[in-house]
Amino acid sequence: MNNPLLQVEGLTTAFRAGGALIRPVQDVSFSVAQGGALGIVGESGSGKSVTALSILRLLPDTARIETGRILFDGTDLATAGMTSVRGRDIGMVFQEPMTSLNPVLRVGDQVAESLTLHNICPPAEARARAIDMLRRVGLSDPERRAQDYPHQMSGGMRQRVMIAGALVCRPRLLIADEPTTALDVTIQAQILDILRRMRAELGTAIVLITHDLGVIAEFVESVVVMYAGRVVERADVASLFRNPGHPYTTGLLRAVPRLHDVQRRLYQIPGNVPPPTRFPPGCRFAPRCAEARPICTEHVPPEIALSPSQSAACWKHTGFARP
Amino acid sequence: MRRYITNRAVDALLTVWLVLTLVFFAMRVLPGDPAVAALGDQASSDQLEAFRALMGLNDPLPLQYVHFLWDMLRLDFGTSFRTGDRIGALLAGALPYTLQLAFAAMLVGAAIGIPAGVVAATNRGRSADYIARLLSLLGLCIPEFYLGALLLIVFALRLDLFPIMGGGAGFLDRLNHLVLPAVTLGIVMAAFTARLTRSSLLEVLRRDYIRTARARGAPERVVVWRHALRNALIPVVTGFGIYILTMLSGSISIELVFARPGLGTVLVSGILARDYPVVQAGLVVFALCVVVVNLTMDVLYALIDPRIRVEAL
Ligand SMILES: Nc1ncnc2c1ncn2[C@@H]1O[C@H](COP(=O)(O)OP(=O)(O)O)[C@@H](O)[C@H]1O
Ligand code: SF4
Ligand SMILES: [Mg+2]
Repeated sequence: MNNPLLQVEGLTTAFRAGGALIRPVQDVSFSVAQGGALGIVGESGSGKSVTALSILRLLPDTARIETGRILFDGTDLATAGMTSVRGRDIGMVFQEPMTSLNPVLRVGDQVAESLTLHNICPPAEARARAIDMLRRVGLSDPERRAQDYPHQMSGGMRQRVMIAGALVCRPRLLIADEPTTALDVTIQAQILDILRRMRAELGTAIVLITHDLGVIAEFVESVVVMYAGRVVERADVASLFRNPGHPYTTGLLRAVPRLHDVQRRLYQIPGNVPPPTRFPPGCRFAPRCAEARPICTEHVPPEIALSPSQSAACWKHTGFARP
Repeated sequence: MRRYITNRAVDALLTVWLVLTLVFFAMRVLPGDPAVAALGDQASSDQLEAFRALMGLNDPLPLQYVHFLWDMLRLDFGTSFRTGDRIGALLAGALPYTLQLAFAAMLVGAAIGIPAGVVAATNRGRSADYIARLLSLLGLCIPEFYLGALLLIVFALRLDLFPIMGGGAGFLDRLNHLVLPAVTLGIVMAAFTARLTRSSLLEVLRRDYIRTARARGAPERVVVWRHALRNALIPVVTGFGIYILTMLSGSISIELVFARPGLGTVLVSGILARDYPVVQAGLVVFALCVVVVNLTMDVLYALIDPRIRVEAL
């Protein structure tokens, strides 16, 4: 059985927004191997969260998956009962630790919830397992903390609780959507460390979403770079860092702060990610790209394979000629 | 939690004191001589003077105030001008009728209103939502006394299912007498609660932690009843508090419609008879009810929302 664990094929997600139909995610494909680790990178507004929410079908009422298939271990999630997949087979950690826990329920009960919802074990054992998970994610005195309410905890603590709750059923896949973005730098490292350790202990595959390439390097094997709703590059981590195939990736790499030359002014890609209402035709990165040529603003660049483990959607790899 | 409740209780006591003071001065700056009011225009000046002395109306105002507070503190409400009965006993007899009515109406309101609000919110934009909203609008538009009279005519006079008037004697009979007035006030309360629950639940269902619950595999039923409703009820409890207060005044008209011997009836007959110690005592007890309701709501908040126990010190 060499099925990928997760296969996203041609995903397009549309929102009704102010009478218009917008597509913040368009024709996105990637896959995650059993036990593997994939990073999804891109600036804020690239469509990473919408992609993640599409996988678990947690989109708001205004959104709809227009086209594409999402296969989990070979099963199309469109036909699977999502409530039995969520929390048991796929766990998810969100970007907003401060608001993602229910303020009126005890933390321990929230961590244990997936176990009881999926009838994995009786409530008493679920409690014990929840406390064990809280200990594993680094809460001291977990028996007592399990009785706390979310407002009694810091953001970092809450994110640990979220991770414990997402992993308590030992899902085969964890989707972590910018799990450290809302946290202090020192806490960020701790959370990443916990994720890494949990992955090693439980063998969970992971999709790690981030806008920070620095986070990706030591965590995942392969990377998907998203820009304005599209995948612009996919590569193994080594190739991506050594030899980025897309000008956007190059820009992201230059923007990563380096420990050794703090003197250098941090590079910023000029301009901003356009909102879905104003996606330009052709290559969506063209307005910000230093290498852009006329063809770039007219035609969408195809994905060109650069090696068996790397491809990029950029006209420069065809010599700016249509194939 | 204990400190929170202590603070609320101190607030409540302060409020009671303010209310007592207000009632005291209001009763005394009111135009008209209470002695004349009590004994009528035909009374001789000797009679009036004797009455004033008896009631302490000739004492300086501060002394009267102290006496008044002291009496209230001992729950000594004096005697009725008109009948000479002890007012304390009068009110003690009437209060249960009012409290039972308010409590029963609240139960009816919550039992109908909360599920109706949940059904409306979870079926937003569908026919169940429209029907629930239409009915609740109707419930809010009908004046209570009109609805009461309507129910009285249909269920008591025509169908003869319930007694027409009075408070009843013995548990079952009292319960039987309670049904129609409680349903009357309860329907209005339900309409109010349903609308509040609906809007509050819709707002809560958009929160991040609801998405988290879904991500854990919670089916819609669990999402709504376990995760959303308790959060959604926080503003509903506020609404309850406000509504019970209006209902206490509403109970006056309902008690009149159903001729229940409750606080409202005592107060109104006291006003009609110009029996001013009765009115004064009735006002004080009404105000006490209001304060107790508020205090209960504060405690309820703390039970529903763990954040309040710590933060709202
Ligand atoms: N609920 C929503 N309604 C309308 N548009 C949305 C909604 N959520 C996201 N979007 C659109 O999708 C785009 C991408 O959002 P998102 O996936 O959150 O980006 P990222 O996670 O990469 O920062 C946003 O620019 C926004 O315009
Ligand atoms: S296709 Fe053109 S505009 Fe787009 S990234 Fe490549 S060079 Fe830049
Ligand atoms: Mg995001």
